[in-house]
Amino acid sequence: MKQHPIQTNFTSGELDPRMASRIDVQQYYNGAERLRNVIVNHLGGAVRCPGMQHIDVLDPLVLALENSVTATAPNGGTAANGLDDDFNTKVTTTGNIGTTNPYVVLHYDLGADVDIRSAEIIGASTDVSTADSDDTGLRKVNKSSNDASVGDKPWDAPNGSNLGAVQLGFDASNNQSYYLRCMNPNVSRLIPADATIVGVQAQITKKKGSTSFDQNIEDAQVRLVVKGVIVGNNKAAAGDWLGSFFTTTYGGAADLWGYSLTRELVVRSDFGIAISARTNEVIGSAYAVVQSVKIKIYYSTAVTASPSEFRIQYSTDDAAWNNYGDAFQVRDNDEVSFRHTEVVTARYWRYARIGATNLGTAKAIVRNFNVFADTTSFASTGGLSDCAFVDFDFSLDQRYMIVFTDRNAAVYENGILQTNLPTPYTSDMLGLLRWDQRLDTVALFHPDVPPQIMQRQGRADRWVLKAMVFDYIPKYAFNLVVTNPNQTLTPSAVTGSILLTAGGSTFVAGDVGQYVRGNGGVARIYEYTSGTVVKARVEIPFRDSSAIPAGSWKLERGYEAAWSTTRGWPNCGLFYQGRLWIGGARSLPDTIWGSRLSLFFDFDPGRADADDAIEATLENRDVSGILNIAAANHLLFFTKTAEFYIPQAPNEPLTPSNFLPRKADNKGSRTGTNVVNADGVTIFVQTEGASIQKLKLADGTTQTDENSIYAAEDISGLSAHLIVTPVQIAFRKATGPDDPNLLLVVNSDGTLAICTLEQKQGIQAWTLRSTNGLVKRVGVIGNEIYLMVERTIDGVAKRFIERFNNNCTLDGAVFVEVDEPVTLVTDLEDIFGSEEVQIILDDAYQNPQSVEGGELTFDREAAVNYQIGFGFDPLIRPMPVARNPDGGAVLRGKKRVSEVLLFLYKTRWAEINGQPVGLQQYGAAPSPLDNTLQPFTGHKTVDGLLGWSEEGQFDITQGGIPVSMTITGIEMKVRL
Amino acid sequence: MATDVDFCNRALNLIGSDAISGFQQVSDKAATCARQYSGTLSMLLSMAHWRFATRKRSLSPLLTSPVNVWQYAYQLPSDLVAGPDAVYNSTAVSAPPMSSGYEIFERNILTNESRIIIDYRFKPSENNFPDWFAQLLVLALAGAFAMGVTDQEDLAAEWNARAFGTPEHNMRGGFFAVCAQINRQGGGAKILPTDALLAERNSL
Repeated sequence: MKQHPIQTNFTSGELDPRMASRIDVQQYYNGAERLRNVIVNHLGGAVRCPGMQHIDVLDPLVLALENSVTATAPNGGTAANGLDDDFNTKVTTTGNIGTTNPYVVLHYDLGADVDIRSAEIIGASTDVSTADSDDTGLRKVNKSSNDASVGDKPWDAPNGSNLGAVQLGFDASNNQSYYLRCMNPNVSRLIPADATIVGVQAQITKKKGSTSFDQNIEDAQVRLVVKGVIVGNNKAAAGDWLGSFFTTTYGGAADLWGYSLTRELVVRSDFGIAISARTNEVIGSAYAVVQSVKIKIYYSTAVTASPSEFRIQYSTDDAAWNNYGDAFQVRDNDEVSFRHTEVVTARYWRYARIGATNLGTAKAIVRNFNVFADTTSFASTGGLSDCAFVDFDFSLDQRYMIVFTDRNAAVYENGILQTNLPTPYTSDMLGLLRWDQRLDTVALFHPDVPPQIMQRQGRADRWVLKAMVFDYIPKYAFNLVVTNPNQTLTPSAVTGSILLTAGGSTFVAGDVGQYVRGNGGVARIYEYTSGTVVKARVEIPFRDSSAIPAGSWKLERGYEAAWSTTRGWPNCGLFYQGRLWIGGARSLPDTIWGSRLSLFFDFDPGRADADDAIEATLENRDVSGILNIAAANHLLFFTKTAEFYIPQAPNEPLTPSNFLPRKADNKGSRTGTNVVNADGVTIFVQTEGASIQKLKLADGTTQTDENSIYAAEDISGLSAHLIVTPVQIAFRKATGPDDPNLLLVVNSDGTLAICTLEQKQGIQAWTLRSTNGLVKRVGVIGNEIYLMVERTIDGVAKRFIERFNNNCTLDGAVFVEVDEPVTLVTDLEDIFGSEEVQIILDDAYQNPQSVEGGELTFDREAAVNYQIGFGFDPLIRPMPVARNPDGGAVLRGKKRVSEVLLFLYKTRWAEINGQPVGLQQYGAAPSPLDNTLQPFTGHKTVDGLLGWSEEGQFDITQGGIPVSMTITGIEMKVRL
Repeated sequence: MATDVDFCNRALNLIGSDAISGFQQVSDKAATCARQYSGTLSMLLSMAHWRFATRKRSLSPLLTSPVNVWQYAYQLPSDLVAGPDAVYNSTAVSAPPMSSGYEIFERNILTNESRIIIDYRFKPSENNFPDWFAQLLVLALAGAFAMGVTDQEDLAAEWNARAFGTPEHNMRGGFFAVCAQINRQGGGAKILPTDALLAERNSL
């Protein structure tokens, strides 16, 4: 009896061995027992996996020098600061750079010749010698409000023609106004991102209004308003106000009003100036009227101090110096870092300006100058660095893969190294490194390192990595101490910035940042005035401003920054709907923080207004620890034991008042693994590492449902054997028929599980990729898939950066398109040592050869391209034939597949049970036998297959011939 | 050099099975081959007077005499698979075989003759099988393997028929009949012994 079963697709992927008898489900007929080194495309066929193209040798661990270093700073400064590995100290020269050539900033003597592998400059700049200065022009403020921290009487609300007016006089308790805060000059679009604020000028147009007894009005206080709080020097001008509107100018081009201003502060809507008016006579009254306030911000932008004249040099005799890497630009007040990797042997090293451009009185500044030793052996795994692939997708034609290794970040564009720069991340930190990108900035997070920002500086080879500067770090009392002082406490107002006056000495200078709670209100102390008076900002309004009785209010001490070197730093972060969201920190692992709206580095909770920062702690049975954040239909948080989402109505922003985390499911994520958004769902690794889960809106619900319910579903269940305690996942979006949606899972055993995921088509096809080595990391940028692969070369483990390439059919492959015929390839020592390698010339497979002395001579010329690398062989083994003699499928009984009809697409070689499929197409005359094997599309029959078994299976392989193969379907003749 | 495994693999090929590397291979096929091969071959060797598998041998008497009736006991050769086909008491040229005067008990010939020579069938090396016998062996093996390897009753019946004919042939048809005919061609012309008949007639 014969049957002719047909398999038209592999869209269920390689099925778990425990599925061997599941002939009752459709996946049995769309799956396979083995799908190795192939991927399933979205049309259902199994395609030989792309080869892994060699990109670079991964940088090893950096090694600190064992030698003692004698550091000198010939042009002044504290040389030891350059060596201390402390980003907070720096070397600042004292001698003018002028035209001095060379101008040596730091000079190191290692005591003897040392093999050096890399050197780095961190935080190099010059001080301001020249700068482009500019200003915003006078900008009218459009917001005013009262601040009760001085004076007796509030200003009237703006009436359309005035910002404020107040009647003063009659008696001594009514002779000074509150502050009138005049804010929001709206200058954010006028000041460049890298500007330094150098001065503030304010013009106040004011007058003395209707008066009696010739009452005078004069300035009492004129100060800055920063983040809504009155700060800085009093710039009050002398002289009485005139009876008609006149304008007084305060501050100027180089006047910062005694306060350190940054761009981030002055562009806020709560930046401005505050004025308090007063009268000296109390027999009558007069109005103080402020018609308008204009503010001009003066700023400078750094300019290039030199045309790339700063560089690292080395010498063996302290006389003849050699350049180490390229020269780089150092600019005024704009720190740059530089790193170069090249093994050289030298005793003397220096960081110097080599050039003669006159830099005048400028001085050189550098935070650290480090040189790292080389290791001649990578034999121990300890010498191998981990890596993290950070994708930077600025635009379609500006995509960069940033490869973080031990204290280094290497920027690649289209597989070509652009530059290296130093980082604070050591190899063992990289597994927990998390990041997110917004426009030209990548924010990086790790619980042991202050969050960093990496920015592209207009060129592919110019980047900066620096610590994130927070305007406000949220506070938390890790050791809360609450007292009930036996003194009365009187708030000057119920809300805003107020004065808190105690009945007796109560406060100390260290109370800044601590809280006062009583009479229904909560206020945070921001300035210490005396033991009885402090300034505070009300976060929850007091019921009234009457004195709170002694013992009836609380002074809460112990508040400190929630993130610090002591308490640890944020675990992960995400830019979402105008805020920077932080998920967990080392000491507060279950807490979520959202920045103020559009102010990504300000986490001030303020009064919990709609645009204030947000804070919440996930409620769970245990301290689960937030590992990852994602944004899909909602904001999602992934912890070790559960998943949470933030309900959000459509078109309604998240605010402190509607922020309520809800549990989505209880699967939990595996520590150290990441999450990815893929094909409409968010995918994560289950906590035990036994499955891959997708978090999605439950069936029947939509984002618009108020009670959206999420559910985590196992997407690896039918192929569970391919998931081996994963260490990382990545997702590559489909870009075409040859590049389907791919979910990539790096297993702890060095294999790569690949899932073709097309939710709407019901395709969930897992396959397994292995190589001549161990896959350790994966990253995706655009449609490119990068890999970190550990291969054993001449018995020594080495790590490489590689990339899937559809035109490449070998692994670890040097793949080169040639302009003219090539027979000799050199510089292969670092990649292949003396290993035997496979060779493909112009798409034709050649005999393997061993690399000798880093060179390889081909048997014939490569005219178009060549590949040198390691082979891998695909394997497709269909599920056991389920015979159907009586209408019901059964597996019992011996069977023989005697004939197989293969449906092929662009296939150059295939074998069934080791028997080649006849595909030879010898091309056209005149030399039909000298042409490359052409890819074949169509169907081919292989008959005479032998073998009886209960399973009735066969293997499709390529017998070690590394060329293209796509199997789109199989029909077989089976004797039962 | 043909081997037992070669013949098995030829038979496996006939029933659509892939080959084995040896009888020790861990597989159902190899186990079936190991179980069936020697028995099938012995059966074939015993089914006809295959001349390539027939030899003469002079036997040595055992030291112990039979209990009664007969004077001598001679042990049959250890490589005997069938026979003896003829028993002689003389090494003389043209000596006729004995038609009586001996009996076979167990693996011994009991007789009163002081010298015994026998013709018998042994198992030659596979390398010395004539091609026609090798083919018969392969066909017989295919029939023997079919059930064990393929679980196909019709396949077993098909190859058994090719080897031995249909059941009514009593295993003397099929390719066996062809082989028997070829075998007979090696026996030389037989002269009908008419002397006794003539002597009887002349005595009348």
